[in-house]
Amino acid sequence: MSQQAESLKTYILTFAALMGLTLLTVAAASVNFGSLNTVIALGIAGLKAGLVLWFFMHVRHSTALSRLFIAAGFFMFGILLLLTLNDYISRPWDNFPQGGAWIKPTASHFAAKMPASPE
Amino acid sequence: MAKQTHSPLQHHFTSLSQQYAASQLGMWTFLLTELLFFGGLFLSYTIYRMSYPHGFAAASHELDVRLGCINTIVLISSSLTMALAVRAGHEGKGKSITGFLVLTMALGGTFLGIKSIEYAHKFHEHFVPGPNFAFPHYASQGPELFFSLYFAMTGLHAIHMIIGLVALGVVAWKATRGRYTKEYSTPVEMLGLYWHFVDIVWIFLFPLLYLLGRH
Repeated sequence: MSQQAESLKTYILTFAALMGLTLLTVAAASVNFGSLNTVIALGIAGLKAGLVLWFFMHVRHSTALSRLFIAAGFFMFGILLLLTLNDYISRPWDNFPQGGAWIKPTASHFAAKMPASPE
Repeated sequence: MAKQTHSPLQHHFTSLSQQYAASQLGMWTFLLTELLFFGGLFLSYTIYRMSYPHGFAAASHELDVRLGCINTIVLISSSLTMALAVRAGHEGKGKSITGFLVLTMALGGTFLGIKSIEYAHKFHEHFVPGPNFAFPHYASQGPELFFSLYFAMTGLHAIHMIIGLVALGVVAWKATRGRYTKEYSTPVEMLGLYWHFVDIVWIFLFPLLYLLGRH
């Protein structure tokens, strides 16, 4: 026993949306939005991943148990990213001689340790 | 259920729907371990990109956006043909399953072909990390770290695609032998989940590796 067949239209529309978003992300990357460029790129990628999960991978027909299970897996990845970054951002790193995006020379408590220009 | 000499129902399940639910949950368990497998690389990328923002942007500029974009389109198309193969499975059309799976394999092969052209260029230009690595006018480790992660992430992704191609071949062959029916096409569907997952990984790799610092 398997799931009911999805309509052809759903797949074609999902595919068209994925194509459109791919071209959009390439176009958006050529415009300077400052630090928002990364946010836009990841936002579009997240939307595309959501479309693939929801329509191609049939999460929309999945049981509540499956959905909870899948969400838990992504939540674990979120913990991995968030807690590691939490650690990196909140420590004064002396072992990055070049400085990094999170180590601003203007941050008062890092100022004494960091060189003036990043990289 | 159609009369078969070889019932798809394993003896330790009470019904096909129970067997299907178990397969689905098991496949997702595997895919979520894969998520954390790739996740470690995405995390490393995030940390080193924040540590060497300029070196990463300069190195990313050396990648060919056109080829990357074409590959994204090829891979998304292969996801469509894969989804159509799963749909054919639900309808019990064995010939269509084979057709769409072979199409998916062709697109997957195209992706790997383009990827190998890109890799060859990188070897030629001394962008492969190691003793021969050369990135003019850049003293920091940023570019070399970027290319280490580029090869690790796209390489791991390519290995997943090669494994996927082999699995596609096996399932396509079984489909020609009429192993899948309207009642039972679970392997086609599970393979679909795998293929779409690999597609999702690329959906994130493309902007993170190719589009960084384009503007």
